[in-house]
Amino acid sequence: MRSLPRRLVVLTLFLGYALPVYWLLATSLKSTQDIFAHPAALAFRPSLSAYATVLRQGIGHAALSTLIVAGGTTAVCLLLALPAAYGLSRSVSMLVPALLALLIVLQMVPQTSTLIPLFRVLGQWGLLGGYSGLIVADTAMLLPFAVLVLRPFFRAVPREIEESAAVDGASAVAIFVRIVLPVTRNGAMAVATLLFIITSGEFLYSISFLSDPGKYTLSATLALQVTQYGIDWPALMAASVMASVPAIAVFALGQRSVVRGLSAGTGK
Amino acid sequence: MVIRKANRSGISPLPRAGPGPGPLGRRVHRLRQHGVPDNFVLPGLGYLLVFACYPLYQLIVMSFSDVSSADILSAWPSAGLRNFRATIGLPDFSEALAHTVVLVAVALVVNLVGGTVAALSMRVDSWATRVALSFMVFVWALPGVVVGNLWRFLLTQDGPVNALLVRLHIVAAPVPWLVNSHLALLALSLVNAWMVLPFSTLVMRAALLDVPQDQSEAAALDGAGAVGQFWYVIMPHLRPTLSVLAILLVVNGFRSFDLIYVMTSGGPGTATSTLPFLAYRQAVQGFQFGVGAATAVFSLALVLVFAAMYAVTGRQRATP
Repeated sequence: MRSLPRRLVVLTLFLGYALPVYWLLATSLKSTQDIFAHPAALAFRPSLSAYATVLRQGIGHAALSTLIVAGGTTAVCLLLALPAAYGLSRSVSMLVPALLALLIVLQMVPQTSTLIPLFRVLGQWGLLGGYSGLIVADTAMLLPFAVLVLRPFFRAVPREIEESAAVDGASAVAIFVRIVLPVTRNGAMAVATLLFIITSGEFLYSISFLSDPGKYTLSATLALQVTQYGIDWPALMAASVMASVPAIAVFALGQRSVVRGLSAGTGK
Repeated sequence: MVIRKANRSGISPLPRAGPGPGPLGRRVHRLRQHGVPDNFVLPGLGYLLVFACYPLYQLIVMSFSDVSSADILSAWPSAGLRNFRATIGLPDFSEALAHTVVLVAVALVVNLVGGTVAALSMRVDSWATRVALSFMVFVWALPGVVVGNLWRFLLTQDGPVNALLVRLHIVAAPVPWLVNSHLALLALSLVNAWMVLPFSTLVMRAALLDVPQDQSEAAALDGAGAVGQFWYVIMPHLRPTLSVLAILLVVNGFRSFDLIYVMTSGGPGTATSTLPFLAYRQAVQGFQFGVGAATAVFSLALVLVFAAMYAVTGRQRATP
């Protein structure tokens, strides 16, 4: 009796999220004539022609670009965020609250606000046009988020381990690399997954800072296709499925740690 | 929540026992006094100063300057408050502000109420819960471009949503979702809320798991019904999380861009243009860099108000 409304809510949520995902996949496997003949039909004859179309249009290159940009950003971001989050979790400096406030503010800045100024800054440093500039911009956007989510993981590490290592004569860097990092592996994995997912979905910086459309990432290609070309729905959905692959793959690997990290990160 | 546990262990006093004076003792003492070298923060901080803070400073300078596409890379003549007066006076501006408010309001209602209801319903771990939850988390992980694209298709005149509604006799004729300006704003707001709901559900579910079970049981023994239990026993535990979530949702609304760009391009006309989208249109499509910067600074100032609220709420949570 008490669980009936509960079950209804769960069923509604299941349909509300599973059906759109099903349609995304199904439409990518349909032929153009089939789509509007029976738009709400669940069964159909699958075809891979839409995927052949987007592969011909060079989506393979875009996938490679996404790997380079998302992989590069995740690596650079973690390289900077891990020590910073550790330092912030251990520092007793009076500046820590101010720095945390700065991180929260930076995390909230809309991407559209930083677009034009970053264009100028990257231009001055000769970083416009290629992957490196895009990685620099994406890292700047995600670093505050990464530090804020990682800090609680470091705070949870008991200081006694670090102290006993210090007694044994280990340097601060050695303590961090050999003792603290292995303990916080799960947190780092969760943040790496999130960084990869967010970067592979980013398109505004990509279409603005990459000069050569041949270098566009999956998301950038997709965002421009939407506005530029006519409506070939199966091809668009096939490209959408392709653009979701990095997120799906990384997510399959790290779903549990992501969900845990996510609930840890919201309280900052 | 996990954070609070982490905080608690973080501030726990260190054991007094340990090596006495001497070089080793001093090293440990230093570790306790200053924590680990603050230098660990420096690379990240330096990076942010150059690539995040400096561009923000540039944005503010730009909003008070006369910048055209010709002198974007050279010096800018000062414009005083002209850019701000120009943008705030535009009908586009008040419209975009109103659209942003609608988007945020829909997100708040759907996510605070829906997130709580979903979390309550998914409190018990069963296979059905797990399947529904993994689809939700999957959607949450999808790029905004993909979600926008998908719903643009689902909501077309002869698309699946209309076909389904007509077949179920809910509507007589297909609904012009993305063609009618009011409907387009509503549809966009709902899709935006749909996209964030998995996150809200996860957050509320984590908060719910922290509610002591024995209190609910005690209330049940005292004869409290399901509603009473929720309102007087569970709700007080959820309130801090709800307020943090609310602020995150507001900030999310003031950053909304990806979905709009793909799903409606701000249209039909300017019917779904929000503040960040207007700033983008002014600067990138209209080449009015100063005016676009003024719009961006204005919405940034609004976001900062919410950031301050977030910081205050967060502090209250850390010291209950």
